[in-house]
Amino acid sequence: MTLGTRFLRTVTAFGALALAAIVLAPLVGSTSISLRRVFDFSIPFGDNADAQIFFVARLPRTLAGAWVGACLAAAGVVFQGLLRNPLATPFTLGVSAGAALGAMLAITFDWALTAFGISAVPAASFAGSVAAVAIVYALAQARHRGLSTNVLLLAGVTLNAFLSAMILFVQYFADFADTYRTLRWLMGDLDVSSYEPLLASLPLGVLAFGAFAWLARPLNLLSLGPDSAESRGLNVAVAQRAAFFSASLATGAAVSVGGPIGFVGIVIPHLVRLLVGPDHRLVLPAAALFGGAFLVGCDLLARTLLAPVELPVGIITALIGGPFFLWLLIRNR
Amino acid sequence: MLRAADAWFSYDERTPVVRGVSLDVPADGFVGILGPNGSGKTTLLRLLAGTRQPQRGSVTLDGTLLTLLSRAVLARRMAVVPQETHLAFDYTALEVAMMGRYPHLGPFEIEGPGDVSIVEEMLDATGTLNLKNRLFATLSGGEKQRVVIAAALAQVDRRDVRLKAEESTVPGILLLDEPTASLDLGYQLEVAALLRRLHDERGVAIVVSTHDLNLAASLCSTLVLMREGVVLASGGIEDVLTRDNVRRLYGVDADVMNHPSGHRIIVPVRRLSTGEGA
Repeated sequence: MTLGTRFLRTVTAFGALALAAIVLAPLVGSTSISLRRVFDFSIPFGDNADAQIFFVARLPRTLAGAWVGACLAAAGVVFQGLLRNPLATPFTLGVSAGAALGAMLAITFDWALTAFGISAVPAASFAGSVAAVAIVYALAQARHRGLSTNVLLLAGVTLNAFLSAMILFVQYFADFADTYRTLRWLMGDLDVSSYEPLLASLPLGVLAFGAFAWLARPLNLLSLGPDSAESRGLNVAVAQRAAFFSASLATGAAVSVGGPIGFVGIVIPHLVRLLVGPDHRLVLPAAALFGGAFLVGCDLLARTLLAPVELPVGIITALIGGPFFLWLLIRNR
Repeated sequence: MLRAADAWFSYDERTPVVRGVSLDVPADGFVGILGPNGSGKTTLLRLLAGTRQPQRGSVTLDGTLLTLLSRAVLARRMAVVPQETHLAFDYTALEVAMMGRYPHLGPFEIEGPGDVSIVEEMLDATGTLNLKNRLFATLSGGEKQRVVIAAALAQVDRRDVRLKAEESTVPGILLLDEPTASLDLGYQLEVAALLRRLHDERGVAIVVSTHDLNLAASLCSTLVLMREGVVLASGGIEDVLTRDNVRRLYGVDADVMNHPSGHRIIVPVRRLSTGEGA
């Protein structure tokens, strides 16, 4: 079977899964709604409670889940390829810790200002991730070629630890309500009730996915090691930088919407590699689609498991992802 | 013709590891670069492959500076086989060999039937076609090395129609870095026989770095002896592989003999103490 055929089959299968998740998830919830009434446009929108629940309460949340899941899963694939380390996650290099610090500063000090219609917490969290990325990049600049993956990892781990300390420091000065809000944000939550956060992060994510499409083949070569990749005709320095910045961008965009939702960026890439093999031209689109479907499914569980209580989705992904991660470690022994 | 002329290189811009090396690889050449560990062999191969640029001097391919050629044009002429290949993910042997076609494809292009048939031909030529669906990581050292050589051959194969008109169609150049160093005797002979066959039957030019004198003597037509980044001697086997040169190269006293097979063989006798050599 040629790669073209495998690509079409992969995208069709995972695309169908993602589409099914996006259409079905908004129908399920504490109040049951009828799909026929939702799309019955003869009833004025103001009188159509089913349509309001579907389009205002549940669809934005579902789409945000699909978008965040796709970004995190694809970013995980790219970080793993860049670092040549299958255990890397989108958060390994400190992007999420930077975002968390930004978000918590905005919450604690009540930054209310909105710029370009983007509210303060997502904007501050994105600014925080940009700052973290800039620091790690500056540290990892190797002298002769590309980025040193060892230095990247070391810088990321150190920055993560330092930023966590900063978060505790800021939290010490926060009042009770702010601490609660911060904690909820850190758990990773898709409790959005408008399309605004999604639309604000969309351009950044689309830019990142454009880079991913080009990066698929270079990432295959990078897994041979930088010297071999270079001698096959790849500009390793350009490919590594493109991978680092685009994956960071996608992660920052996702985190600004849903907070640092864990495990999507590692569980999905591994599952997808088990299903379609390691070729990034198949893994990347499959992971994006599957990641979207997975997070929508997890959010559905979060909304319904203890209804009417809505759990943060990060708890569900961690409960599923944690044991899976352990199983991976044992399996690779 | 691949030519290095008075090439100098250092990684830290202070201590040069290649110091004024000049070397010719003719289109049908089989050149061995010999020297002890740390003599600059690997760095010299990188300069020849164009993955590093000399800070002084030049490396040219058919008279053109490597720096003036695009990465893809260069990769279609020359391929590097590293000492060992470790993959980050579980690719099959076929997928690894297929990566050799990278410089032949556009940014979003996927390998066509022509690429597949070239890659399968090269797997066949290296005796690894039956392994194509195996995971690369599960292959033996010798099998891995042959799959990587197949990838290199597929990389320098320029029969495809996408080739730019100005590119020459002479057989490519393989640069191998210690291809047998991590292999046991059986696999060493296997890889050596493969290189000999590729050179004789396909006209591929080969540059091989090694510290194995006997392997070099049985394979190569020209030898370059390197020590501490400098060429000690270069030329044909008979002229270069002398008792005196072996002593200067490794600080080892050796018997140099001619084997009935026609190859020169070197039997190390003892290591000379400091001051006794050179």
